[in-house]
Amino acid sequence: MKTYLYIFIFAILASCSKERPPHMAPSADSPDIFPDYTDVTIPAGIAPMNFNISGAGQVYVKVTGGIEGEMESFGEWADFNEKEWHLLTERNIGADLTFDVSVKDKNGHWKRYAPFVMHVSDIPLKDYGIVYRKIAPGYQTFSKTGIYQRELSSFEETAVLEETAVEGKCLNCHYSNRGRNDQFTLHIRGKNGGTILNSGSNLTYLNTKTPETAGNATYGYWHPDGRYIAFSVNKIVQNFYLDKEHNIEPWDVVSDIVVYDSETNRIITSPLVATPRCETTPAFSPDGKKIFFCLADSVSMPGDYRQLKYSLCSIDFDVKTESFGTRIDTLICADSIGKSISLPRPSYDGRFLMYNMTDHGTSPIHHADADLWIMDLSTGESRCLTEVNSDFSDAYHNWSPGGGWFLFNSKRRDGMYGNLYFSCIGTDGKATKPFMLPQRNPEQYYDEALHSFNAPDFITDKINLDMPHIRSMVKNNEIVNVSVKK
Amino acid sequence: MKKETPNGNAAKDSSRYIHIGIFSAIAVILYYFWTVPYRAALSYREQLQLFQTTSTYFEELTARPGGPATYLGEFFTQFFNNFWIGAAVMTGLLISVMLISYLICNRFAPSAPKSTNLALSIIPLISLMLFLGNPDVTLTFVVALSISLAGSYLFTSIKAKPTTTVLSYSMMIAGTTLLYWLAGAVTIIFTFLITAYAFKANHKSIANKIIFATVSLICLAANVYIRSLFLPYPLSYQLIGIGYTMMPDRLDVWQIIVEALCVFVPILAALFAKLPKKITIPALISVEILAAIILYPKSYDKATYRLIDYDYMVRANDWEGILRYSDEHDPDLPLSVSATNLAAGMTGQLDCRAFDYYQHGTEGLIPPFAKETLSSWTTGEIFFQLGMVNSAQRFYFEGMEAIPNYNKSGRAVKRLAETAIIRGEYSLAKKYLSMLQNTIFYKKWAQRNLDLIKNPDNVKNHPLYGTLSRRMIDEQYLFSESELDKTLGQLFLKDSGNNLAKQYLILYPLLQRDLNKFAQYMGVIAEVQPKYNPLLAQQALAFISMKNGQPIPTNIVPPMVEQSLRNFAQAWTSKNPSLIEPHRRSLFYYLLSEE
Repeated sequence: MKTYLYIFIFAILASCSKERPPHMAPSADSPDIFPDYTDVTIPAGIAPMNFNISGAGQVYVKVTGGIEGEMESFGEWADFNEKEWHLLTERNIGADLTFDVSVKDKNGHWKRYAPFVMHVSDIPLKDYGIVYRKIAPGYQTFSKTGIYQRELSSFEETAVLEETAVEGKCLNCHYSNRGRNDQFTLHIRGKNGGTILNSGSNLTYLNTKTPETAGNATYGYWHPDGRYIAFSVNKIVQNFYLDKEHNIEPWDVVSDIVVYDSETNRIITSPLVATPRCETTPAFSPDGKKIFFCLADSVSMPGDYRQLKYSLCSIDFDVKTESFGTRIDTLICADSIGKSISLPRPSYDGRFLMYNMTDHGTSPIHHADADLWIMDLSTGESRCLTEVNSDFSDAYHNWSPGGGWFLFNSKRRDGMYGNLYFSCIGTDGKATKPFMLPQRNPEQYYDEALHSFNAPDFITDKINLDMPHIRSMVKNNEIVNVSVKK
Repeated sequence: MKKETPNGNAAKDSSRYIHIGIFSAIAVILYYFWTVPYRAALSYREQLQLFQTTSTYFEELTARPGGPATYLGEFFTQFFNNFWIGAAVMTGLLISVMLISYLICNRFAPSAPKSTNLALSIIPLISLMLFLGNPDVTLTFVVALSISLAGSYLFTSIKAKPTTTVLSYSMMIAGTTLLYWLAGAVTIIFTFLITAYAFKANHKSIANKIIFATVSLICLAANVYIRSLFLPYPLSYQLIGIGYTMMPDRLDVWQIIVEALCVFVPILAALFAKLPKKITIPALISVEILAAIILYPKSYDKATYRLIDYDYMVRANDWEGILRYSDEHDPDLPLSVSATNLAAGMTGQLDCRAFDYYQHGTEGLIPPFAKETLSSWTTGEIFFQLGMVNSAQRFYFEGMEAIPNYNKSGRAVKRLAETAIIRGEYSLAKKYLSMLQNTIFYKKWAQRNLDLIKNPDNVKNHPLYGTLSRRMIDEQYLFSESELDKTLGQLFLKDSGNNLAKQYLILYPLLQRDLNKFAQYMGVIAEVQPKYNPLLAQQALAFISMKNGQPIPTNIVPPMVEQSLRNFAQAWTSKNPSLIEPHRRSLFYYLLSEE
């Protein structure tokens, strides 16, 4: 009996042993790792950049810091110890981490690959984490949706609000004021639907549809003072393609721009941005004096969908008089470029404006040709961010409040499911090679996930919602009607 | 202690064999029930989940109260993919509920005749079977019920021996907490049963019994409350039982009845203990048979199960089976009508036999989108077979997203993998196929397809994928529900071998009663296939000619068709319903009637 016990204990110990590969020279081959983290730039303190190697029986990785320190990983995939990893990245800010990878195949043969590097950026990413909606990339029916937050330094993901918590309502995008955890809006759709507004001191449930406006508040962006929120009010419909290359074409039947005043609970409108044309996806400039938005001439839809092209525009907004400016400036004219622009997002330091460009339409996540573009706001010059774009949709970008870093949603893995990528723009104005949101076991996670990461943004601190209050507001329809400023 | 006589032993043995025989007979009946008349109900349940053998799946499900029961329930449900095995699994679970009920009855009434207890233990089984008539009831409930009953039996077994008060309370608290995690809301059965058992004990004072009952209830309530603080579900979901049915927010009255009967039956066993079995057994069996006969039709709604049968055959692409079924049961709902039309089209009979069945306008040919699983998948299957692969992908996706308890679906993911392969989206196909590799029943299929997509030439030459890929429309083209006939025309022009599209194309305007459009579409087909002259075309042409007062072209319309039109015309003009009735299932009647 004892013998069996010893064998059992030995077997357990053997299976847990940290087997190092035999000493051998590296081959010229690069390891085929997932996610592709080779040559990416990462912030110090990010969650361990674990990766898988297809077909590997066992993976041994030795990471050496360009300045100091080293660490190892043994296992079925590269799974780094969180504390050691943080220490190593903190010690090597501005330097490279070199990854020496050896793989034991299923037949027990080791192979050592040519090393690769990750660069630890000297631009810090100090945000607590990110917030996003997880939603199946469907069409008209959505199963379980939810707003989640993820700590950037670890793999911890927690629900901010899940659909099941509010009895089967569909949850829409979360918009915060420069990543603040106590100032945000969140839409709930369905029976008793409305917009949850956390203004910093109050949690209210708003009915943003008024007799004078075209629809519910949809795409939002906070004024830096935390009082005003620019929204587009949209009525969205979808058409579907029948050819191999395309899937969905969402478009706005109506879309206008309004500004919501959270103190007076009123909406401010202007005939300049509430026209039969389509005005959408507003974003305040960092100084709050201007609203960037997209504007398209009405075309006969859905027949002329390829002619639906949005220009990038701006209009002044004065908080003192609570009024829009008297003219619309066209920053990039759709007619002149023959393309359509969407989702303008200025960096919080006022240096850049990032936006999407597609052949036509207003929903870049549904266009494989959607690319990220960047405008230098000091010169007005734009360029395509070729260093981050892919052959599939790259969209839903947002900037870190600390500057430099941005994240975006990309369907580059399979063309259907949007995943999150991070990149940063250095002093040279160039973006670094983006890296995919790290996961404990990335291949397993991303293979099994049947959701897209939708409308992601950075958050400076963890969001804690008063769930009983929210449930009660939604269930009892404790909704506050918004009025229009006359 | 009573001594057994040799005769007593023999009687006990024969009684044991009789009991085993009764259990076996019930098992055979249950097995027959789930393999023959209700096999489609197994497939229905199986397709509304995607059980995966991954740690993530396990962790996700077992984190919530009743999660382990859901995990086990879904584990068992995957075997419904093969109805022979599935029926055995279902039978085993149902028999286990009856067996544990029987054992609990024996605990409550140890001196009662075992036959009486056996007869009583059939009651929870019957009520459970009636509850299962609701196709949205999942195996989670059956497993949770078994767990809760097994926990109760274990508790009563330990309590049957002398125990201290501390041990009793410890067992109650630990049992409630453990069972609430394992089984969820049905832990209430455990609470009531152990309370009833405590009340049965003679050696405790009534005050002690009341305190025990109160503490049991408080313990259960505390478990529910503490869990509600951390769960992303409203309290009502927890009280109903998360995952017991596909509808997380609805409580079926049968669930309460089953739970109540599981508690009352052992109490009844104790009450009936002293009654002579010559009275109790016939009375019980009569009541049980009567209840089953009266309540069965209500629980197993015919119309619902017909749709489930159609869905099962659509899933299996059993076109001949659908037509046979429709010959027996006249289809009259969009799903059954559209399934029948699809089956007729797939067997090349739609352009002759369409009006042998009730027609439901163009919605019976291609039902419009509805946020509902079965109809989405049936419509998705029609699109798939037609070669509208994008639309098939959309409808299968929508159908999966419409599953009310947020489950994914093996059936849908399989089709999604296929549509991705056909569209050349191999990375996406690989994602779906990788998921299916984590299953028992789809694993081999997934591996075959993973091997297939390694070489795109193999996909091109694949009899199904290659054909459907070639049928897809090439140019950027928007789907329009109101102009489906134009799409059908495009599909036919893309591939004139697409017989389904051709048949749908000529039937579509006829169902709209638009004879001009029909003539136009026939002209399009005639340019490519001049000899194409199906019965529907002959009838329509004869009808048009007669309507316009022109001679019927005898080179196209055979005399039999002409004669049938004349017979119909005579009947119609007579306005005599009995003369018209024989023509009710004809194109002529459809074109003239407003039904």
